[in-house]
Amino acid sequence: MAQIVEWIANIIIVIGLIFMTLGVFGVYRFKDFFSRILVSAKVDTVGFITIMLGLMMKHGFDFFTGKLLLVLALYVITNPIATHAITRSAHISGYRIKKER
Amino acid sequence: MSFDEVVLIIVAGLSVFGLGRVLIGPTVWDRMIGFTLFSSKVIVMAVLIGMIIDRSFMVDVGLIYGVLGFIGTIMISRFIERRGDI
Amino acid sequence: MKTYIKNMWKDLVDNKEVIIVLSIVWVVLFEQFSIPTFLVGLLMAVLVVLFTDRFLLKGNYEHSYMIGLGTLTKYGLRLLLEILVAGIDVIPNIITGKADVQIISCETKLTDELLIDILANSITLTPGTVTVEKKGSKLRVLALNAPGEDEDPRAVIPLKLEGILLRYEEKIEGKA
Repeated sequence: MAQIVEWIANIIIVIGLIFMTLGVFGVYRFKDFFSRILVSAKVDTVGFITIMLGLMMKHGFDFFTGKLLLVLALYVITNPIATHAITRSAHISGYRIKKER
Repeated sequence: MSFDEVVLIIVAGLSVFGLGRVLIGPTVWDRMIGFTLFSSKVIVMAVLIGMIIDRSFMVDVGLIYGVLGFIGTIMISRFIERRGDI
Repeated sequence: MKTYIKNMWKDLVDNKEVIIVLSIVWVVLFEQFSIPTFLVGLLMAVLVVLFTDRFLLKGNYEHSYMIGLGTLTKYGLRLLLEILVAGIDVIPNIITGKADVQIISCETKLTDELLIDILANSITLTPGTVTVEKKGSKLRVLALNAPGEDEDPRAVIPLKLEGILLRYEEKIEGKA
């Protein structure tokens, strides 16, 4: 039983690694700042959440898992604020795109 | 070589590519995206090292790094948004 | 003096869920469960709530910070599902390298400030949409693959999450 849970956790961690690799690949792929922050940085966040869930599943129920949950909660709360600050700073400083309505 | 160590090496390689965007980014905000990518990878690496050596204080290191990266990003973007006046 | 103590007690009863969550965080950070640790955590949580209400907040925010634990759990699970689905949706754009980015104005039905902030942060957290500006209940959203000119601009908001928050808002409207 424990073996099966460990295999499932490993598969989840591999899925998270694929998401993270796509995020870093996308940062080099796009030509435009807004599409970079819109696609790549956010896909990187999906990878982070998935890897953390896989690690929590692998370690079992413990105080270590509680600490990982704390790190995940902190990251989920602070990351949108940081992204919003960067985008707002670019928008206010005059970085424009062609289409806007 | 266990599974965790392989994951640790892959994440370390990805963090180097995140820092590459900091070096070559044409605008300031591209460099800030690279910094946030690097910061999230550092948190994952700290947690993985903590799982490999089986100590839990490395998770605290990740927690503190997350808080410091958040404050740095907010302060730099505010500095740029107000054109040098915090 | 008596009314002061009564107000303090009312604050504590209103924020009982926040106190429970803070105590659990304290116990998890200490990594051992014993009675003295839990009591010190409870004391710290009470002090944090009193200090915040007394010195850090300017208005009377108690009723809007009472987000229930049940609502929070349901919201978190639904948010996780939305994030994963949106992340899978975005993958073809990364591989082909084409992105059609627009800024759209849209409006939510929520009226409470804190709930609008939570909704805006959830929009930022899902891949494919980032909130740029918020003024009242009007949001300006930077969106990928945006709906066309003749379609409803509210399609960029995750409507299930807004539904959960709307139901919660009705509940606190009835209470306050």
